[in-house]
Amino acid sequence: MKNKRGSEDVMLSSVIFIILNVVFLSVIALYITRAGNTASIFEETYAKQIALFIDGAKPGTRVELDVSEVFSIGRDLDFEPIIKINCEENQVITQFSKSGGYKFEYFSDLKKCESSLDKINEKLIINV
Amino acid sequence: MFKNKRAQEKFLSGFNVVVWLILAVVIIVGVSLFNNFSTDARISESRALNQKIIDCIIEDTGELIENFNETFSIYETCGIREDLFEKEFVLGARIELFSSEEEKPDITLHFGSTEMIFLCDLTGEAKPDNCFSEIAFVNDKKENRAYQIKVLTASNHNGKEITGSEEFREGGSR
Repeated sequence: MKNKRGSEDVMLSSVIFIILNVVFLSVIALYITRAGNTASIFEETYAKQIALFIDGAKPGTRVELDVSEVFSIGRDLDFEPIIKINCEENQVITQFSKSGGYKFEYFSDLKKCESSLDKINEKLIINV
Repeated sequence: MFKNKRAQEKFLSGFNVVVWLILAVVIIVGVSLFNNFSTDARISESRALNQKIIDCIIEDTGELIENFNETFSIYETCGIREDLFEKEFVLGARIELFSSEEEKPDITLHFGSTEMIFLCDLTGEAKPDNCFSEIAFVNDKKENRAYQIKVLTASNHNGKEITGSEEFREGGSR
C-alpha cells in the first residue's frame, strides 16, 4: 500500500517534470523562430542591401528588385510595407510593421535618383 | 526515474528553474549576437566604397586619371558624399600611390576617419573586420610609367531605427 502510493507520487512528479520541460522547450523554440523572422530584422536587412546596391551601381542603372517576401511579411502583420528612397536625405527607409522602421544612408552622391514600389507585381524599381 | 522523493523534489524545484534560466539566457544572448552579425553590412560597405574609388581613379583603359595628385578629392571627382566621412566619421579611406621601385608612397591621401584607418593597419586579432584593402596596378600616360595604387577603406556605419510613420510617407526623387 505504502509502496504503491510512493510510486504514484514518482509517476506524477515525472509527468509534471516532462510537461514543464516540453513547455519550456516550446517557448524557446517559438522565441528562436520569431527572433529570426521579426519585421525589424527584415527592415534592417532590406535597407542595407538596397543602400549597398545603390552604392555599387553605375550611373544609368535601372533595376527591379523582387520584394514579394516583404509583402508576405506585411500580409502576416496586416500592414502595407513601405520601402522608400529619400533622395534628398540620401536614405533608404523601410517599414514592414506598425511599430517603427529602419533607415540607412548610402554614401553615393547621386545625380539621378528615382524609385517606385510596384505593389501589384511586388517589385521595387530603382533608377540611378 | 527518481531514486527517492527528496531527489524528485530537488529536480522539480530550484535546480530545474536554475537550469532553465541559464539555458534561456544563453539562447537569448546567442540569438541576439547572431542577428547582429547577420545584419552587419560594414565589410560589404567597405568593399563597395573601395571598388567605387578604384573605378573612379583608374580609367577603363587601365590608366590613372589625369587629375590624380596631392589635391585630389574623392568627394569632388568620385561622387561620394563628404558628410559621412568628415562630419559623422563613420567611413574612412586612404589612397596610396607607389612608384614601382619605391616602398614609400609618392602620394598618400586620407579621407574621413583616420582612426579607423590606423586600426586597419594593425595585424592579427587586433585588426578590425570592417576594413577592406585592394591593390591595383596602373599606367601614367603623362610620364609613361607604371604605378601601384593601394586603396584601404573602412566602415563603422550603422543605420537607425525610427519610430512613427509620418516621415515614411514623404520623400522625393532627383
